[in-house]
Amino acid sequence: MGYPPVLRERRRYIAFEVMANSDFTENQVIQALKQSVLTFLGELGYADSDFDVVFYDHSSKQGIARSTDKNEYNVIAAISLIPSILGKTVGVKVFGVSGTVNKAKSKFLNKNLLNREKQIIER
Amino acid sequence: MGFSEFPVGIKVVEHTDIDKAYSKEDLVFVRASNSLDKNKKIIRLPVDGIIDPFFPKAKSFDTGMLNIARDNNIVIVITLTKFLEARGVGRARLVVNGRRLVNLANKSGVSVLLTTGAMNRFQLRVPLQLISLGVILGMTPNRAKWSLSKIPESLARRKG
Repeated sequence: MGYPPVLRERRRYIAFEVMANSDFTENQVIQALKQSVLTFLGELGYADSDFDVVFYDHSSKQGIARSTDKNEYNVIAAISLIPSILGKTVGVKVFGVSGTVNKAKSKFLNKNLLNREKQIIER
Repeated sequence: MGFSEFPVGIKVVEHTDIDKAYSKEDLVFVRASNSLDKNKKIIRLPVDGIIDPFFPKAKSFDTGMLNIARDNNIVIVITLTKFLEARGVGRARLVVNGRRLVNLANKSGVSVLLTTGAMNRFQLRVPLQLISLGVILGMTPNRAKWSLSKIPESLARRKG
């Protein structure tokens, strides 16, 4: 039993960068983003937004988060309101929003990051 | 605000230092007090904007105040920093009061200006994030874009 395309929610992919002086692990950043969305939108809002972090690159501090199209602004606002991670001041900068992961990567993220991904795939 | 074609100075003063706020060349923005009466006094002065006239607890704005603001061409400035600094219930109350203010400003015809109010580089945000804040506060995305672009431009033209 497949899931009919008409019932699928349209997704939006949000490209972001964490501005910080300290280094955080991938897990720490993902948990901070999820916690911020959960705190700001609540459990119901979190469920509605279908929020998730698709990937985060530790070295470039850039990543892509996912939400539904109806909750795109709510999720961006929730991400923007992260003042610190593990007590250290940070700022989360949103580059833009796209309808596909590949387009979000090619349009907004660092070219070095894309090259590195290609190298990993080639290996 | 960074408009190169309109070289205008911007002065932000606390509500306690209103006497120093008068300047013909600069755009003057005053940080609001948490008292409604003080805020009404502020908007009767020759200033260009009042910053964050909403607080989590106190009632610091009403229809009368916004009508005076409209008559004196004063804009309401909403900063993202205020939301960044608040936590939990305090932030929720800020959102509630911010929504009331935006609704009332729409009804009264007062312009709302969205800014980051950043004090350091970590508090800087891109326009899309400010548009999201506007949407959270009950604006349509187009109106939020307007309050980021056209309203600062019109303010700069006023002095420039």
